[in-house]
Amino acid sequence: MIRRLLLLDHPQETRFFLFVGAFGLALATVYWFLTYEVAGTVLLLGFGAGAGLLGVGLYRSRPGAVRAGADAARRDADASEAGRDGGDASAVDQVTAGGEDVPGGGAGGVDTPFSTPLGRLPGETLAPLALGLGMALGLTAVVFGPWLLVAGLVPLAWGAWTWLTAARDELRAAVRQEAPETAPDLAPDLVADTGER
Amino acid sequence: MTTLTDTPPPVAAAHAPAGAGLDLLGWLATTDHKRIGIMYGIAALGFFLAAGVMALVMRAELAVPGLQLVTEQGYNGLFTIHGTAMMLLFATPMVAAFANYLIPLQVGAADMVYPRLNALSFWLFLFGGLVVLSGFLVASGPADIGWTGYPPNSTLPYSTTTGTDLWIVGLLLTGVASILGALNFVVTIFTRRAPGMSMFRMPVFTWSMLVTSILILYAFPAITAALIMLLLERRFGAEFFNPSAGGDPVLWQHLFWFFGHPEVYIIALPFFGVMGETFPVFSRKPLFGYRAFVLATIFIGAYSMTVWAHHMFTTGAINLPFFSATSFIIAVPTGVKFFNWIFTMIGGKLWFPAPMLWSVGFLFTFLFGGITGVLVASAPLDFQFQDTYFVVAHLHNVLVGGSVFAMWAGITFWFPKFTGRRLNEPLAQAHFWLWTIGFVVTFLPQYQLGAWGMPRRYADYPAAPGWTELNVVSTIGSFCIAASVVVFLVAVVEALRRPRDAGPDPWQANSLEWWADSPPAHHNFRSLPPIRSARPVFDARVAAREAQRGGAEDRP
Repeated sequence: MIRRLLLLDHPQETRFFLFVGAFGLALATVYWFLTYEVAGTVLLLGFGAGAGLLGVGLYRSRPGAVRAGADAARRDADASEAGRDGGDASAVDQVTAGGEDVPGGGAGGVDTPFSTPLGRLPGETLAPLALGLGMALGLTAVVFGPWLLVAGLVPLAWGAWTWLTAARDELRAAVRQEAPETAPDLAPDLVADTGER
Repeated sequence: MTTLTDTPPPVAAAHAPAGAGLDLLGWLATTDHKRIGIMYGIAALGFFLAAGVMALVMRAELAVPGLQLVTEQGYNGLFTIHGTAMMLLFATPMVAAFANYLIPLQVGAADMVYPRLNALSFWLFLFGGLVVLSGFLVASGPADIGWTGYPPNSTLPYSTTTGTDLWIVGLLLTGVASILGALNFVVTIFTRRAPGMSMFRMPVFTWSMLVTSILILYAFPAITAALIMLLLERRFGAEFFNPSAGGDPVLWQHLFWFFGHPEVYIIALPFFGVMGETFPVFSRKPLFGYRAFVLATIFIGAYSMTVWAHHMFTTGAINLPFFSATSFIIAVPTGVKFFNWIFTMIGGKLWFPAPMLWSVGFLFTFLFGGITGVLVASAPLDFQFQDTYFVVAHLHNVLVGGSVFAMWAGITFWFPKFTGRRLNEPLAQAHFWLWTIGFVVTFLPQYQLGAWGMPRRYADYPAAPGWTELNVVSTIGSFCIAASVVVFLVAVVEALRRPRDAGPDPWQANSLEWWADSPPAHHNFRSLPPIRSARPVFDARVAAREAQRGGAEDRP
């Protein structure tokens, strides 16, 4: 019961955000009744509500994510008992033992309950440089006139297009890797190399 | 695929990164967090040097009364861009430099979650910084409104230079860069930690960066909104801050300091984390009170959002007891950290290479800044010290003592990881001593000048008794600081001309980055040790030693 009240059966990440959110909302309340000053109260409310909402989101996502993590850790444990490197044993121990480092029911998928698959790392690309240059030129147009906006549109458009198409290709390649039979047809070069220069 | 192993990687396996020559296109197109971190660091140091030269010109101007090296308008531009560049183009991106390089390594990841976004953050920061500095190239000169940019001083009737508009646009770009970077850090820490690394097994630097990144996500939108409002007022006739049209200049101060005070912690907390890494290594002990350290970090982060208006005591528009109380309270978790650092050293096997010297120097200088901070948190004293050199000395003691000392500690500590080479120790120590002496000589006299009432942001001052002597001393100190930076640059060049010989773990350190080669391979790790504590590399060393000892005993 106490564990539940203190959210000890939830991941540390969830407790972290809920604590910060509660702190911000409490301070906003105190501040308002002490000062009746709008700007500061709104800023504090935004701080508390932002963290609080994120905490609530993590709280709601907890059961599935942690259970999946615990299942993954158990599978790792089975694999390691079958002769693999035993490095994951600590995570599994924590899942089953309920020890100090088992927030939200665990470690492993439990030490890192919100862990996501690695995905593909992009290769070298000039898209971020072009996008940044375009944004800088475009914004400076406010000072020097619209001709800079026109000059900025070219790198901005090229950078955005290159970035988005590369991201789309990576996503398709990842989907195809996971489920080759259901993935849409892809040009072989897109699957082979998603790094664009 | 990362594997788990107890055996530290051999020194001979040190990785030679692709393109050991000047691979310019590779650097421009990189999405590798390490290269982006190094680019952040070099750019931030470039802005630091530029802002440092401005400081030297200002100190030369103030050496004796009546000297006019620069015009009064030029002086206004110098202190505006000096403050802006040091805070937002040097200290903040230097945090991003360390975070970019170290977070994926410390959590055992191959890269950031969003590598392209990471690169975009860097380019936006760089272009934003250049736009701010470009004010020196326009005929009307750079922004002349102070780094705080208070209206009505920053609105059009009072600041007519185009440099002020460039200042706003540049800071908008750097603000967006900071927000994107912080988002990347938070998501990477939450979703890319290696198996076994629970939140309370994360290195304290990564913990500090998590809290800092969340602060950035709350604080920077406030200044971004304020800057957009100011730009609309200057260029499009909006009236947000004009009281005669129903606006309120104090609104800017609320928005600015709701960003500005967390900003102090944004550039301090990560370096507190750096101290949490260096003290244990050079004391040969685990960090004393790891959990207390982490909780203090969280408390400081949370409280830093509630103290903004202590910069506004003299406006008469805020609640003095509330902000005085929160400002006093925030000293408590900061004190907890001091106990963490000091008790880590007590009973340890201390040794004092350059990173440890910087760490101990940090303790003294930051403590001095903290104590004078308690003074100005008291409203009656603050009314006396407002806008005097006491505040200048205090903020430099906090920001240089709290951040820059720790930054030098971090650079000298991780330099072998960044480059594969150690800095020349005598040069690194000369850098420390010159800097420290210069720092004390520069800023200590300014407390007395402030107590006597010498106002900040004036290009000249009357020849009141004692003022000239203390200003001369302060100016000599500032040139001593400049000399120390030259020594550092010489040390870096000297190190880079030597072959890579540092090995993966030259300090016998604790966290995962020391498991990787120096410098690390493109995707960081060929293997990972089991993570069963906050010191996985230490655990692996112990395990390897015991295995070796066991093997020796087994032999006939």
